[in-house]
Amino acid sequence: MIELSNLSKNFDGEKEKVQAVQDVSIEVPEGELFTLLGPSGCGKSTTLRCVAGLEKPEKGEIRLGGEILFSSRENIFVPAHKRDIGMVFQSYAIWPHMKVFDNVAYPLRIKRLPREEIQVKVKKALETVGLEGLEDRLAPQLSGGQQQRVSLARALVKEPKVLLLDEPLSNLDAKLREQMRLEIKELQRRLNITTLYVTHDQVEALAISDSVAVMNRGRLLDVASPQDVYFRPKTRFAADFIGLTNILKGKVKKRETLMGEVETAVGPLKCPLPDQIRSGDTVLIFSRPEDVKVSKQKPASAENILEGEIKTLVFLGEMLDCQIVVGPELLRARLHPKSGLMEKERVYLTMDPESLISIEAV
Amino acid sequence: MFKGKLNTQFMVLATCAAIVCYLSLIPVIMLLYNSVVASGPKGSFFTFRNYIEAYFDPEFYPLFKNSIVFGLGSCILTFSIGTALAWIFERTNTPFKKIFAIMALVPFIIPGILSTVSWILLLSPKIGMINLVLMKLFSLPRAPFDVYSLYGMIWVQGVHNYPLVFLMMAAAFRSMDMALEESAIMSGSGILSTFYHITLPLMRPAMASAMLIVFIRTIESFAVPAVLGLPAGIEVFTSKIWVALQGYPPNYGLVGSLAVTLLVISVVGIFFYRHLTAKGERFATVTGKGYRPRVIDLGRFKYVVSALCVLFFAFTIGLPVLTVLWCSLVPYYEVPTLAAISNMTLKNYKFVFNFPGTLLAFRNSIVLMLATATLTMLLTSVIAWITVKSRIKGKGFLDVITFIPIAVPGIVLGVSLMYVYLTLPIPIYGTIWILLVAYTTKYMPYGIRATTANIIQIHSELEEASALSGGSWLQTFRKITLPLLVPGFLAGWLYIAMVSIRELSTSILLYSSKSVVLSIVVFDLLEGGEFPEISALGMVMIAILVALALIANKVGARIGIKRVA
Repeated sequence: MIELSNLSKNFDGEKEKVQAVQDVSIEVPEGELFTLLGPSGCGKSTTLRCVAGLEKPEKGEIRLGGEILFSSRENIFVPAHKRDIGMVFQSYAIWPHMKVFDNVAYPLRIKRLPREEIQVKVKKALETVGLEGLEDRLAPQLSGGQQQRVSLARALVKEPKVLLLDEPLSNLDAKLREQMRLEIKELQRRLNITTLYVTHDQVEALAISDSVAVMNRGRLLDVASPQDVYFRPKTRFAADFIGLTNILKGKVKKRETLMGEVETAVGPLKCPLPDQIRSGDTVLIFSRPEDVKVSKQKPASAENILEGEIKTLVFLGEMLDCQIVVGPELLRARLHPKSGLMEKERVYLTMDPESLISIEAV
Repeated sequence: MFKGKLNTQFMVLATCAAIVCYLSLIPVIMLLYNSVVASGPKGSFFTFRNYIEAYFDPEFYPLFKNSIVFGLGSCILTFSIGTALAWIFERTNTPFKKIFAIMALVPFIIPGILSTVSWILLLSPKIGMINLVLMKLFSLPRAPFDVYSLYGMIWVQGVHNYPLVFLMMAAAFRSMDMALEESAIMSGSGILSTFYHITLPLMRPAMASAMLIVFIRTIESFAVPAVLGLPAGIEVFTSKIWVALQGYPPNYGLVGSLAVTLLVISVVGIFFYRHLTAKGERFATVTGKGYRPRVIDLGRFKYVVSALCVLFFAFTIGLPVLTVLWCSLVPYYEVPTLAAISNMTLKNYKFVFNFPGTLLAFRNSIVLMLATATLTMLLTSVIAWITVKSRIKGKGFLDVITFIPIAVPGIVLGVSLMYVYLTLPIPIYGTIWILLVAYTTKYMPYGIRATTANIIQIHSELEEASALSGGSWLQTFRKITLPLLVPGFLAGWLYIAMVSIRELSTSILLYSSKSVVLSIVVFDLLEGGEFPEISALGMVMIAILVALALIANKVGARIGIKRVA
């Protein structure tokens, strides 16, 4: 539905040009919720604003359902107000001089729809977001969550092909954020509307998306399902940015068909290797803390057993966050809160080879 | 299509930018040029003769000394009053402090020339009511007070200027993060030591900038030095410039060099002021979060403070205004007695509304007020839009240019515009148009402050949301941008209307018998000593200004008034 190819956008910085978006290509299938995830300044919002038509890229092409919205080669730029797109802004951008009804009716009035039709459609849109009965309120009289819903209703009321959401939950408190996250997901499924979602919150991205694109410094690093982005990161940045990861660097000693043995600072580790890796190459091994098993006794028969000393234990309610010194490295593990381990205790760590991921070190 | 729209947009922006540059730069350039060029039998030539003559004139040093003493004296008085009131309002539990805060802004409304008149009515050695009463009560041989003196000037200017200090210091007290003081107290520091080591250093930028701006405003002032200083032979820069222009032939050389000198003092002052306020912002005592007013309990002493405030306002506002009101209702000014009360009349008001001169002045003042406020706000709105929203290069430069007139004293602007329109072939000298040009130039900086604040508060996402809803540039402007701009625009408009209706120091050099305005009429009537007529006219002016202030308050004029430089 949305296709970006080789999109690039620069900004004039203080001294030189800043490349906000560099050569980004994305394809969002119809009905999918696609998330751009990355730290602030990574170019995710700029990419979204290029799709909206609020920024004009330097290079590349943007298509919406086959229609060209922007093409640097053909010198086409459809202005924002001619694009069939609804958008929810970070600040919600509810016009303070208009009532809720007028805010939502605005896109329809611009289209010059008949009065009765506007009434019906606005009512339906407000029902969709659960705001029936608040038509006559002014924006300052609304809570953050309600403003969010008005903003959604206004974006959806003209039944656009695509919905854009720019960090829509970042102004809400934690509880409400979780609730709205579910509601947006549910709404998007029900309406089956293609959605491009921007956030810097990895948990939000994993929870809500059909696909996640990880961005950093204007570049697209990884596009995959939430599960794959989490369990099979393709770059060090993606592994580090999403969740906690133990990262170990090592040299491949021996390569077998799929597995191999890697010499690391904590000792030899057995792990799966990418196809192109030969023995002698340097790789990075990723291990999620919840995949690291910790025990007092040395397990009888297992691979990848390391020995270390617990440095700190932090009780977090549902788990213990544990830092263990192994040789020169500090590894993180997550333990059951009643595991009964103590700080300074000597323990054995087991990393199941199947749970490890390795990539070529660059 | 896209290109065509850009072109109209570009034309509007370019025209406004050009007008602003013309208004702000040409007068200053002409002033500087004229001060270093003299004409001789072989045509004009470059010379520093004007400066040398002015600076080596034996009259220059008393002039310089008077200006500095007047400036510093009034500055200290103003600063003490303004800061004390601000502290009482922000930091103590004094009863009725909210009413006092409103009272502290009242001198803003009263034109400088009228407050000067009121103090003559109270403190003149011959007719001053306070003097007469005291002489009678204590059988004094001579009047104890003389308003026609340097002390008189300092007092009158001081009790008129303090609202500015009040606003600046109140903002400084309010925006200080209490945690900074509290953490000093938790570190074991006593209240006095906390004040000395923490509060005072943190307030220093605000204090310095308030004092600086008041000093500059004082040495730029015209009404007080001209009305109170000249009869006593006390000349300062502004009154001397005026005197030099009254002679025949006018001493243009002296006027030019004095005007440039005054301009330089003012520019240096404004430069440091801007530097200080920027630094103050960097100090970051201002935080939106965690603001809790910490009020000091004055105990029983709070009633004393409250009573002192009542006395202060009664003496500096109540008494002068009532005196002017009294004077406007009697045939000739005298101490109120039963006989005098029975003589009360409305004939002074009849004079005001029947005398052709005042009627013309009313018309001119109102027309100028409407035109200046509208023109200035429209012009600066466009400039503010450029500097806030556009990505055009050199926009910072445009902001600076619009701000330049704030550093040009009113009388200096008058001199400069005189030069410009006596030289350029634009025949507006002596008409109401030159006053419109002068007022617009003078109030551009206030306009740009108000409009910039106004446009900044419109988050660009509000406009973008309209574009994404299908609204075109024009539809977005009409339905979103404009309605959101109107309240701020109106507030700025009212503020400029208020200051332009009482303008004197620039008009005094540019008016003619056809373009006379209200404050000029007051100034002229003063020469004949016609106090009852002046008072009636003054009460009408105050009524107009109070009405404007009330409307401004309704509209939420804080944007306009609180940001006065």
